[in-house]
Amino acid sequence: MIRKLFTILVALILPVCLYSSSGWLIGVEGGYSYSLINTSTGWSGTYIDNGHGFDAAAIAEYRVNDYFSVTGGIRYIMKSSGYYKENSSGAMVDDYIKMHHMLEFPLTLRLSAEIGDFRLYAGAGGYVGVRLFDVHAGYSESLTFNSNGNKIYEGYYEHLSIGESGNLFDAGIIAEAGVMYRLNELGYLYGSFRYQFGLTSLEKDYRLAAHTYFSNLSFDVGFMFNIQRGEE
Amino acid sequence: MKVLRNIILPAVILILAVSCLPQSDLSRDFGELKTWSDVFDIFWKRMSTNYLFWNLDYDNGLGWDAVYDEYKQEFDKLGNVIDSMRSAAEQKENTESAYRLFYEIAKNLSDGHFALKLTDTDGNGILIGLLDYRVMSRLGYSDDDILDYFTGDDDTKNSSRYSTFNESKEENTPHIAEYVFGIDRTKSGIYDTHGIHGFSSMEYYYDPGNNDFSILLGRNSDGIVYFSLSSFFFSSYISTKGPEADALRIARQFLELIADPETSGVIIDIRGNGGGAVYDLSVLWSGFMREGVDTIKIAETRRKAGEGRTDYGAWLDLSITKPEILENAYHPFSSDVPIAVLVNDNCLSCAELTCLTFMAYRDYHGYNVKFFGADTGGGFGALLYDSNSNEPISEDNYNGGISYAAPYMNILYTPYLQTRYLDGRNFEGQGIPVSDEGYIPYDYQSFSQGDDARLEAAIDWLESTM
Repeated sequence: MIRKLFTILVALILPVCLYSSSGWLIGVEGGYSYSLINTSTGWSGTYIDNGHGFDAAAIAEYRVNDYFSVTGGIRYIMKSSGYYKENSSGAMVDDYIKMHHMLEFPLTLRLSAEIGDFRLYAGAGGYVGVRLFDVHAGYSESLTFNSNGNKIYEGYYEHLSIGESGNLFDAGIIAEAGVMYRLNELGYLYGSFRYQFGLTSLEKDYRLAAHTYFSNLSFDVGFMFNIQRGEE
Repeated sequence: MKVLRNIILPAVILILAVSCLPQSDLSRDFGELKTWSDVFDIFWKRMSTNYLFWNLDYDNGLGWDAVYDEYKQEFDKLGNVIDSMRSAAEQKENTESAYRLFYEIAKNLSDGHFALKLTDTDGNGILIGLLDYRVMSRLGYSDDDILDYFTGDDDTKNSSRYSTFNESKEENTPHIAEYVFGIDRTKSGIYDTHGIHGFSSMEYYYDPGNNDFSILLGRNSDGIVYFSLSSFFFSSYISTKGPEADALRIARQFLELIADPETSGVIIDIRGNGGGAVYDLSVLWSGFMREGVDTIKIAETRRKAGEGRTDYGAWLDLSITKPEILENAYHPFSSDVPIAVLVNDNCLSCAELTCLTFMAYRDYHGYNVKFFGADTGGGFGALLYDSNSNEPISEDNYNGGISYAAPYMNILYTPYLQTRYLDGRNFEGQGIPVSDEGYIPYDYQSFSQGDDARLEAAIDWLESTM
């Protein structure tokens, strides 16, 4: 009985609270993303490094009240790593960057606090996405000989289709924090810091798959527009 | 308690889950091999990481797991490779059971170069070669016939049971020299060829110390240059004997002849040519470039970008460039001069890259080129191999290709690089097709009597263009 009354009470009060401080914002952001790669290899003379990239997103935020909000959106992010291979004599065979272009759909729950025109927030959530295509850019030893009989290194920037053993599904968890500045009636200018922990490998799950996971540290700036406000 | 169950416990589970992301053990070390199951494990793993053609085989590589599931238990039944409790006959039978399993797995692969050499160190060995498998299959040999050939000793291989196959392997430069032109194929020299096919004389070069390397060169009374070579080993002379070596003198002569205004046509005969050094393509086929051209692209190549089965790197250009080593040897070639290329199903590797070269001349530079003979072997990969050692130089230098696992897996022979033609077609495992009008069946009886229908067809075509 008491539980039923409590439920009815919450059901009556909550919409009032929601209406009193709720609102929608939509915006765009973009910035730098540093990729931390988690992989292994059995090959000698092979070095795989973290890489640099960027991301851009369209974000929608629903402010449940002054403290809680839910954000979602669509993000394009480029995750990258460096690949270096030297031969048994120590000469370079490959030196290129592998870029993986992803489309992600993040969803986070934020906790916020307002101080004057500033709004500080921290949030957590997750994302799912798809790996669109890869690009390799750099230099590799080719089978072509120059006029002196030496193999040449070819420079390239090439779009690659993802092989059948590659995983197109992308998913992970997000932790974020940021500062928003209420510029005017229109909306907020903001800067955000985001950590994404990738849960999916670039390779499908088969025996002896060389699994590769990315975590990303991103710093974005953006602008959020007020599009719907309740009474304040 | 509720807080523990509802918040802390899920958080701990999540943290543990994310810290345990699956990762394979890609270490290339292995312990002592004792059982056939151990040997299969190494073979299977090396194939997973080293093999380049998963885009063509076993369901884009993902079916390779099913091979493990199916065959592992079969190898488990065979026990130790060597078992002192077995009689010699039992040992042989047990080993041959293992060989049959490897054969069943390997024969479906596309790699034209693929070979697998195994031994039980008790005198029972096998050399599985996929080029031979495909040629023998086309000749009508059953899978059992072919397996017996692969496990057989020299007496077996040379027996009448395999005469058709052995006869097919005789269509090559030294036997063309002997059967068609009456040349002593074991002795270099300039021979009087008595006007056979219009050739009054031809120069033959033979080097038994360099993989029986042989060259045949001449120009007939109609101005048709004929050039045949058993493999691509000119580069070895450049590095060991310098540009004045006999073989290079003949190469220089060839380059002079094809550019000579008296030349009305060229025959490049690479039947039975199993390949060699890629640099030779530049040394020889740059002679066909027009004035002002120093390099042409003939194909594209790629290597692996990681241990993932279809994790490939970018396609890189494969071009031939006029080398400086044969100074003053190159003269502008007139693209009006027609070129006939003679091929057969034992053409492999650089011989097939030669075909791609002349296809490029034809398709992208407007040359008049026609192929005669039969579809080629289908092996376009590049390999790094030292026949004098078991050092993993291919793996160390190119993260793929040839591998060894002593004492039972003598060699897993496979390329570290794959090739496709300029229009994107990949001929691996199939060979370059000869057109219907260029296809001439091989008749050993006629050939060994000097009646070379394929050469005659090429000469007839060249004469028809004059």
